[in-house]
Amino acid sequence: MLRFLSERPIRLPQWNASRTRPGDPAIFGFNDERDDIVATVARRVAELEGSNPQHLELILNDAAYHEIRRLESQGDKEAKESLPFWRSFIRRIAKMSEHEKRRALDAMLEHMARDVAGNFDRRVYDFARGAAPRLLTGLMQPSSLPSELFGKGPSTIERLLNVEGPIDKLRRLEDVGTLVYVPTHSSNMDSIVLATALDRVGLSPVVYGAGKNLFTNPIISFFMHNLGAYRVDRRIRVRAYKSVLKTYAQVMVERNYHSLFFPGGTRSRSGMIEHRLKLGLLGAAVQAFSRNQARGIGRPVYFVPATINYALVLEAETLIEDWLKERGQARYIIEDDEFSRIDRWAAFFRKIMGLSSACIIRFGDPIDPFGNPIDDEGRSIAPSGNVIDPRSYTLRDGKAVEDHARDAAYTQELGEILVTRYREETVLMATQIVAHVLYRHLVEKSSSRDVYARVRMRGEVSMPLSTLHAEVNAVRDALLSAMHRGEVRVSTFVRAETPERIVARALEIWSGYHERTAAHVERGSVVIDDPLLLLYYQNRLMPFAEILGSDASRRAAAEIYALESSR
Amino acid sequence: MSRVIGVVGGGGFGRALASACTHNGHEVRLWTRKPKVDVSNVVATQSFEPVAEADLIFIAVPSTHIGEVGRALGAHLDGRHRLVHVSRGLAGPGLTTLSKLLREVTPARRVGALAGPLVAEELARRADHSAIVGTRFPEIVEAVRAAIGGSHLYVEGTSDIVGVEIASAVVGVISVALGVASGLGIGPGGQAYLASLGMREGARLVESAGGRARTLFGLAGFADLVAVVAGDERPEWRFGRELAVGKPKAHAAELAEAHLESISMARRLHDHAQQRAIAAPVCEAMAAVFEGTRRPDEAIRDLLASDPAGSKGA
Repeated sequence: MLRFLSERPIRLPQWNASRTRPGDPAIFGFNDERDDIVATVARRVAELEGSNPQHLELILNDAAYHEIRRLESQGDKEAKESLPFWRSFIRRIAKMSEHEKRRALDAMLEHMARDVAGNFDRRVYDFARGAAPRLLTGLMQPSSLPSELFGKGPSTIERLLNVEGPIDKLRRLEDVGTLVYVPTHSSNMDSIVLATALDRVGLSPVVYGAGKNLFTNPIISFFMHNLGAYRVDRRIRVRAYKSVLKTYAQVMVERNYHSLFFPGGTRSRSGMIEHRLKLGLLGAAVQAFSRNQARGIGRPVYFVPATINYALVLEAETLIEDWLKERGQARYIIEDDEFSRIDRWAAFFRKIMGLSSACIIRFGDPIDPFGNPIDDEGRSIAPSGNVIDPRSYTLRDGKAVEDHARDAAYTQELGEILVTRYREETVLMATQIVAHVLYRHLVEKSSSRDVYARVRMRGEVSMPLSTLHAEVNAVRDALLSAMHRGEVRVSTFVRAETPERIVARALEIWSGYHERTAAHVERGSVVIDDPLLLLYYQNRLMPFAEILGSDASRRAAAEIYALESSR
Repeated sequence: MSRVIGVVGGGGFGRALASACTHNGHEVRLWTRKPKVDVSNVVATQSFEPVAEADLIFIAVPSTHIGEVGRALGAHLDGRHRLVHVSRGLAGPGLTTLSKLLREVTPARRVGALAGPLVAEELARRADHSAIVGTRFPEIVEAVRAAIGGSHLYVEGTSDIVGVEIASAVVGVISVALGVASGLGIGPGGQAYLASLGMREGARLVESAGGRARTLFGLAGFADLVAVVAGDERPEWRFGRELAVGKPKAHAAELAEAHLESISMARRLHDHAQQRAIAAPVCEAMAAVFEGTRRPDEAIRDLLASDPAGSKGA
């Protein structure tokens, strides 16, 4: 029958699988609900997409056409198995009766939904939260294995992570409503890192969509699959498939599964904080809220803006190169970046092992789907300070109703609010600040060149250490004032240390992991070795260029924004 | 279907809206500082509570008061309310649109901006005319149509609310410039050229604020300007004519006090443009005229002699 995927991730046998207890998060009971969820998703999409008989044929043709194109270009085992089906299917569509078309659509949607649906295994969860971080650390650094496995206290991986924000409040809200985490997205490690952080501070696990490319590593695939992640195959361009994904996400929120979406859609290629969001999944959560309200389910949905801040980004080099290359749609799928290379992982972990707080996860204050802040009891607060009922936003003539156009408008506004919140919750680190000062120096020294020419200036420009220190200090001061105004945040290290230590830390972090050195010290000056890498790290500061007190900062920002809007 | 509709602001526009609503058979709650209003069948009130019983509320107070009035009104509102403002102004030092300000100071999210060639006097006497509602919420367009629309008033909707609000502010400034040109006896060709300069800078400003330039081709821009030239005698245009014949500049400040938004808008639009390296010659010239640093005839003649290619900007 219809085959979208040839291999399925491994699941453990179900004997011994533990039952859920009252008060457990919804995800612990996922496996019992899975068939129902799959059926619900397939039925809803069929109602949505297949209501019009003429439209029905278009949907089937669209699916067959795009699947044939995808499989032909893949030319793999899956193609061999599935192409004959689709080729014969596409010839038959026009001759099918309406009833047959509906049955074909139902079967296709059911198959897609089943392929997307994840699994949740309590045993894997318990194992992952206990031993996995230690084991992972041990794998990366064998000499530490004994102390990692048998030592007391936090494992190295846990020391690497700093988790900030209103954690107690989030813990309380988990019991009142559904949490939808909406973090920034820089690395394929984000979902793993965020899941670890949630566990570390005692928050419930979340469900999230993970690109199928993350499932290529069998070990990671095993964990992801059994911890509730659902699979998103970005190669499938079938319209109905997108609808299945969105509906799946919506149904999960409706059923009170705490969820994780990356509203940026894909990892930030430029290294910039997301400033344009993909609204699809956000919209699914907003619609989940109004659909529940219209059905008399009053459970609130809370959006938790979050930033994941890395001193060192695993895939920095590939991402920034991809950003400059600008290959249109191809940009969405990077199949063989550092994430899929175990040697890069090992190098990455060896590098960050020695750094405490190399990754800062900052949870922001939660908001309701309409951007209102939430008090400690989980109530929405209006600008006047009054408590208001979020249900009122779904009312029309006194009745809570579903309205897609209205919810799309709410979603757009929510997206705008999140963009502002991302800036405010971003934690700037030594690497980003030092990269900016070096990069803007390069801009000054190469004022007649454009970005493309500038990033090729390897080893051509250097900056006296004393000047670098003074400017890093000035930039830090400007950022600290911005922090007092609530516009951004600065890491504890940058706040507490001298400019000399900040510069030294940045250089130390860069050296040894990235394939090219970003910069090195030579006779009292810092030589800029890889402007492209500096560009990636410094882009995090671009929204704040106006306050950094330098024309070169402004000029760099103007260039970056012009490039961003040209795509 | 008869509904309760709120109107906030007892000035010319507020009263005209109230009158149009009652004419369509609705019950109006008009909030005004004045205890008495001369609109038949309208309940005037000095409290926001009765106004908040309406789902649809028109905000017809000048932009300088919207923050304060919005905050006071907002304490009585929740997510079901729909707010539609009719001001040509913008808030704060930047180009903060009033719809954004309303979303900040009230819990209402369903907001819209009513604009286009809609003049209070014509609305009140039900002459044939048209208006545009900028809003992301299609239900607001329907609600405004039901409230004030009819055979004599065509109401169109667009989702480009920012475009509508910026266009409306820019057209206000161009209207004054056209009034000056008319008062100086500049002929149709000259006025047309002036209008085209204004529309070009309007397009640049709309885009820089995140709106769509083509919003200017419709009721919010082009049509609004045609109404000025066709002689709708709006206050901005009349003020421009008075400037041309040499009324003292105290008059400008006085009119600004009487809430002619365009007077303060010219400077702010120009400052915004300058920060983004966008050319905005009409706003620049009019700002100087309003501030008394340039003579109106000089300013208009310089504009007419300028090269539109040179003012293309970013």
